[in-house]
Amino acid sequence: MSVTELRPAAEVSDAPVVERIPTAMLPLPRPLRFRAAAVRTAGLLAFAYLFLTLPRTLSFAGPAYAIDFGLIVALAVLSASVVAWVGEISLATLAQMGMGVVMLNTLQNHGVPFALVLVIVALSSIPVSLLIGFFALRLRGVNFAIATLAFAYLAQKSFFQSYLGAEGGFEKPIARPSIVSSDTRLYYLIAGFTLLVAVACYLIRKSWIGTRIDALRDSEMAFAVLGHSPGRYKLFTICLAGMIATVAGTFYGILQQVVPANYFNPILAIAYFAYAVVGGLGSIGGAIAAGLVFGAVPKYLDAASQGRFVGYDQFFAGLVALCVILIIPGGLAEIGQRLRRRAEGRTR
Amino acid sequence: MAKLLQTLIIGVTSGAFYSLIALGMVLVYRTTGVLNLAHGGIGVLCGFVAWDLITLRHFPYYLGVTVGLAFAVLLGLTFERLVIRRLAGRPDLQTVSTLALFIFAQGFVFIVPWWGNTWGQVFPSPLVGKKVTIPGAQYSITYDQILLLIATGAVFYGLNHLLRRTRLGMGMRAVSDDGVAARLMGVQPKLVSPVVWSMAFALSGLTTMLLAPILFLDNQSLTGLTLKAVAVSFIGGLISLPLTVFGALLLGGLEAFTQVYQPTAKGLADAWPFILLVVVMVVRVARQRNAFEDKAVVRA
Repeated sequence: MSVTELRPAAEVSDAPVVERIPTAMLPLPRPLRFRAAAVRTAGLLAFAYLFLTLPRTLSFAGPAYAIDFGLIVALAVLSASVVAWVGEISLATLAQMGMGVVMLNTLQNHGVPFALVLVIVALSSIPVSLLIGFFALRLRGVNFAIATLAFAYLAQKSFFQSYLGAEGGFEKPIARPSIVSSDTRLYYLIAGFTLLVAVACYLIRKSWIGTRIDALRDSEMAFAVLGHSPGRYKLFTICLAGMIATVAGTFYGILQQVVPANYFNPILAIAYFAYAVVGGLGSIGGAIAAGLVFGAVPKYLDAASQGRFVGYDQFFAGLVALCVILIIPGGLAEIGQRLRRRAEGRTR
Repeated sequence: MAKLLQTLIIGVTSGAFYSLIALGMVLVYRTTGVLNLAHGGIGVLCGFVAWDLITLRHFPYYLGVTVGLAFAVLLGLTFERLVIRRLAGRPDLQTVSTLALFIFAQGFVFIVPWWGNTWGQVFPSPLVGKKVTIPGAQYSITYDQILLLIATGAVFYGLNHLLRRTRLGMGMRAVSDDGVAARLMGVQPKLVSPVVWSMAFALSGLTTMLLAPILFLDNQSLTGLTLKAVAVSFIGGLISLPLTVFGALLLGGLEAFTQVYQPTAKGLADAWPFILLVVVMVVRVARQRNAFEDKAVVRA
């Protein structure tokens, strides 16, 4: 019996297979291939230039602090977006950031060298992520979101408020390591880490793990029937998101030095999730772009307006989020893809 | 004995806070499948509109409250028409849109300079200063708190009656359960949906206007209560109104007992929503497993 005989009748048709492939996935014609390569090279060069010079390029608009803060928000938004890979909503991002601040303080008090701090902080996020992951094994959708919200509320009220207090209650402020003594130097550390995380996330998405995570999101039951463990992939994704958020918290601690408990309000986690939606849920570049837009731009506007913009950021964030959900449900990632396709000369 | 009674009264009052907020969320979830995260934000916005009219523009109290509620209804209708209807069939995006609306409403309250929202505003009430002493408890309960308890009972009874006994309520549930079948039975989702959203937003505004004279009118504390109410609504599975009220009263009671009898246990009172959530989840998992095993035995 040949292989074709085992296929369902619908698949063994005379119609050419190419017709079923979306036009966007077909190889480009030769002239357009050069154009696409040129566009990608120009994009990469522009990115590399901005990556290396951003604090200096934007120095006319405000201090490097703004871009540092924007990158930290971008990491937090990326963390929320990573959880969306398995089709879940996590509102515990800020709580995990808070754990990063507390861990940083503890490690500094024990004199751990800074090079080790980031590694230990990333690993220390795993128990908390597993606790959140325990809920993901049993709850789905809205119920999981509620569980993470309750966890965030517990962490803020029961832990951060007694540990950090309203004034950021460490005995002494978090010390900045000498290699990141200025905001500009800190930018290169955070930007480097963000780039590393983005590349790692991209590689995971493109690997067999990413394919399985996509399959899990599409149908958990079918995924389990195929012999895979949904729990294992969910825990992996939540642990990855937890690591990103916890390290983002560490950077936030280094940037601010004194962190009050109020910053880890669960309501802010809701806002960060909305930013992830604006970026395009699950998208890596979209999440980072949204984080920069909602994190750095308000700070630059604050600096430009001499503090008069304070308070407007939430209003505009809500408005932009509503517009994006209505007009482009794919978010900033979809805008980016459309622009890239247009620049490359693709019709779709 | 007096201390126990006092604690019970405090617990029941707190439970009424959570009940009233959670009932609004359950109404929306049960009839649309959307978790309305904007509940607290919309309530605060409508509360500030009413407060502005009564306190700053010297409108009569009842007129101010009525305009505040009318504003909530209008907002509900607008949101349904502009957002919910466009995202029909996508409850995930509809939930996210309520989240965006929450941020927008909070931001709006923040940018009106004369609302001075960075601190709590005193919401006026015709019942202010009036209280009644509970015999045996050596504790006074204000008329505003009594009104809140009555309102909670009325909303619970009203929603239960609406969803179980009226054609409108059954239409709402039918649309939520199976939109196509509901249409075949003559229910028009386009008419049901605006009613649900305007009712939910009005309930949200009413909740704030009942809570604000007891607490304060400010963004932080009222949205904080909403977060606890979300956990409470989980106890009722986001569907059951009686279980939601039971969960709210249980949470209020546990918090009150912890604060009165274990004041040194820092953070325990705030940990109760999470603890209850874990307990409910474990019970549900155990029940599911038992049901599965029972089925297996029957088949065997």
